[in-house]
Amino acid sequence: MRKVLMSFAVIAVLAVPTFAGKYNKVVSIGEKAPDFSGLPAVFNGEDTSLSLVDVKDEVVVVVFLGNHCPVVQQYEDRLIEFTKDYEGKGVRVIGLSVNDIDSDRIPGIKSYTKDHKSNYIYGYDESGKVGKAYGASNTPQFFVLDKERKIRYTGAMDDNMNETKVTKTYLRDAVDALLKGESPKVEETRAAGCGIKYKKGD
Amino acid sequence: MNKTTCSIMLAATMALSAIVGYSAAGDSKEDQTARMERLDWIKFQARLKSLKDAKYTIVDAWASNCGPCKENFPHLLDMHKKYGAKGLKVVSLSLDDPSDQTAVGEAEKFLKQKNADIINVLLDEDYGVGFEKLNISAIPAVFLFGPDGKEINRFTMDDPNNQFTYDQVEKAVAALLGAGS
Repeated sequence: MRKVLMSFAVIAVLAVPTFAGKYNKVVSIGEKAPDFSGLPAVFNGEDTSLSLVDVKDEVVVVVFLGNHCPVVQQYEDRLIEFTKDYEGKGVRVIGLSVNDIDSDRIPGIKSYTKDHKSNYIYGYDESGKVGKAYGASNTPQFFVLDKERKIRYTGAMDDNMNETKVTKTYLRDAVDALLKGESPKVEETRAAGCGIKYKKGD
Repeated sequence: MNKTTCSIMLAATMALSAIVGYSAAGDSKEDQTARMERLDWIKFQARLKSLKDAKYTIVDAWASNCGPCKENFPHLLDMHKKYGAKGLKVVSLSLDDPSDQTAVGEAEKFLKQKNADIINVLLDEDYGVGFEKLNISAIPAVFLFGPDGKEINRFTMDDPNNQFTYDQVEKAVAALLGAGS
């Protein structure tokens, strides 16, 4: 069974570098972000509708969420803080749920955003098509889009689920770079979390 | 998960327990099944290496706060019952935060409830490191190792267009070891 050790060792080595398309099976860095429009959404407790084309901000952060997911809940404070910090700086945060789970649909989103005082717009795609187009496999998973709506960063918000142990703030770094007209240094990371439960039969 | 699903699951689990005749609560064996072996990554690999009588080994990566993991756990135990005698070793690998006593307690409570008479390991690494080590983004995820210890197959949620099911895992195991019963 020595080879068990070896195959695990290989896995561990492969996990270290971050190349575009390394984790995401569908989209690559630099690709045009898949469009979405007319999604039901909640913003400041009110029902609204969400279309990417309506967003005029320089940078868009799309984050796939799931209310039920403990990792998402763990990141909620960080997401609210991020949204607040970049308000008025040309950055729009869009939360999206594509889970086929009751708690993660619009009524669930409404109570979740109320309970957490979430300050970003949070939409729901029942078909799951948007999530699949982005290659979203789990939550929370971030996509940073530039002015031309090309994907410039995808992956985790930072390098540790435990906020006190965070040493790398990937999302902030990527957004800051784009706002300065630069390219993000790190373009793709692993976004560990809860698997997305897509609607069956699509 | 809503309460309806939960209660359905509970009922299903109870029914399953009745059918397969899980041992009565309170015996010492059950107490043992609740305890997880706390192993860091290196020791976990050595533990897998030590399973010399295994023809095939499946490792199920899960956590106490992962609904789908727990939902599918009975299927894992079912595979152990069906294929254990044919040389299948079943290992559960908890990715719960080992420094979080509540989470670890929840995991052990769950294993006890399910009478998880398999090899139960708690990965003793910083929270989140397990994902890196296993090269996965989400749990549940199942890894199938062959007689030579090589990874034959991995079943993950990483491709949204091709998410695994435990039925696929069982099919792969059955194909290798022959249909159970």
